[in-house]
Amino acid sequence: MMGLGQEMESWLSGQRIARRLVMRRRGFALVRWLPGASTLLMLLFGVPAPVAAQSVPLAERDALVKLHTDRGGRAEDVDALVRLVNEATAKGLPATPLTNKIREGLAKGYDPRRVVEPAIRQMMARLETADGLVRELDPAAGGVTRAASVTLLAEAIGSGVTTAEVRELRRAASTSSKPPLSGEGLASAAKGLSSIKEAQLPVADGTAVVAEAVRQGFQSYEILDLGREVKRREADYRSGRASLRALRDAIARGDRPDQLFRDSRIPPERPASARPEPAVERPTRPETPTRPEPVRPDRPATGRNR
Amino acid sequence: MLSWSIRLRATLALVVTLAASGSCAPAMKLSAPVATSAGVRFMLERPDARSVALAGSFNQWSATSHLLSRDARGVWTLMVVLPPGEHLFMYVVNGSEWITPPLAEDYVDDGFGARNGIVVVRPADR
Repeated sequence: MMGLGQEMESWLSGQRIARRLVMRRRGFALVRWLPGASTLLMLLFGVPAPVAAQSVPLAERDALVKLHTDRGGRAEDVDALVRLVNEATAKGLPATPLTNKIREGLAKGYDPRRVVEPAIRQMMARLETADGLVRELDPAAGGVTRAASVTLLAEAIGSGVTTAEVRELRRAASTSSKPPLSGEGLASAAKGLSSIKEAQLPVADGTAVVAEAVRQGFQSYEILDLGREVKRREADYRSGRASLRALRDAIARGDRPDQLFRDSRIPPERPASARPEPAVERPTRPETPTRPEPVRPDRPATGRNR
Repeated sequence: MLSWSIRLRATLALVVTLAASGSCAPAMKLSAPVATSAGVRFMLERPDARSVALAGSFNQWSATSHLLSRDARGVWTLMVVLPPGEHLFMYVVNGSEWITPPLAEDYVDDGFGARNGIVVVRPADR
C-alpha cells in the first residue's frame, strides 16, 4: 500500500516535470503523451517512470537554479547537484540536509562543480554510514524521527566520531532497567561525544561521561550542551584542572546539567543587562532618612584665589 | 580669572575626548549571540561596512533578508526570534563578503573550507 502511495507520488511529480518540459520546448503535443507514458509504464511494469525518481521538489530545484544563475552560473551545474540528491534519496537517505548544504554553498558563491559537489558527496557518504548505523541499532525507527537521527548522527561522524565509538556508546549507555537507546538518543549522544573528541580529550572518558548522562535521563539538548561545555573548558580538562571522571561522578550522583557548569552558560562577553534575572519580590524601599548637613573644617587657602 | 580659564579648557578637552571615542553613545558590550526571551541578539563590529546581513540555516542563507542596524560606534546589531535548536550562521558584509562570526557559542566547518558560527536556542530560553 505504501509502495503504491510512493509510486503515485512519483507519478504526480513526473507529471509536473513533463509539464515543465513541454513549456520549455513549446511542444504542445508532449502534454498529451508524456504523463500518460509515465502512467502506462507504471501500469505495465509496476515501476515508476525514470523521471519519477525525482525527489527534490521542482520549486526547490528552481530556487537553487535561480540562486546560481542570478550570479551568472549555469543551470546544468545545479541540476548535476540535484541529481546527486536524487541518488541519495533513492537509497533512503534524507534529502533536506543535502539540499540545505547545496543552498548554503551556492549562496556563499562557491563553484558548484569544484567545491559544492565534493562537499555534497562527502555529506552523502556520512549520511549513508549514519543510516546504516540507525538501521542496525534502531531498526524500528522510521519517518521524520529517523531522518533527524540520521542527519544528527552524520554530523557527529563528520566531527570525527567513528562507527565503533557509536556502538560502544550505545553499549555503555544501556541499562538493564531501560529499553535500548533509540536512534534519536544515540545521535544526540554521539554528537555530544563529538564535541569532547574535538577537544582532543580521551574518548573512553568522554564516552563514560556521555553514557552516564544518557543513563541519568539528560535530554538531547542537555547532552549536546554537556559536550559543548567540556569543549569550551578544553584547557582545564587537558591541564588537569578539571577531570572527565569527576564530571562523570557528578552526573552519576544526580547533578543536573545546570549544576555541572554553574558559571559558564553565559559567555563572559555577555553584557550584564542581558542576563536573565530571576523573578524576585523586592521589599518596598524605606524612605531615605534626612541627613544632617556635614560640618566641614576650614580649609587652607588654595591657589584658586590667588 | 585664570582658574575659570583652566576649568573651561579642561571641560572642552573632556568633551572632545568623549566625542572622539564615541563614549557619548550608550555603550553596548560586544558579545556572542545569546538567546533571551525576547530573541537572539546578533552583533558585529565593522565601522567600515556599508551593510551587514545575517545569513544562516534559519533563513536559507539569504544575504538580504536579515539586515543589521549600525550604531554610532560602527557596531551592527539585530534581534531575531529563532525556534529552539542549533542554528548555523555567518555575516555578509557589503552584500558579498561572507565572514565567520568573531564571537559565537561554537563553530563548525561548513564543508567548503570556512567555518560557521553556531547559536543554540534552548527550550528554556523561549
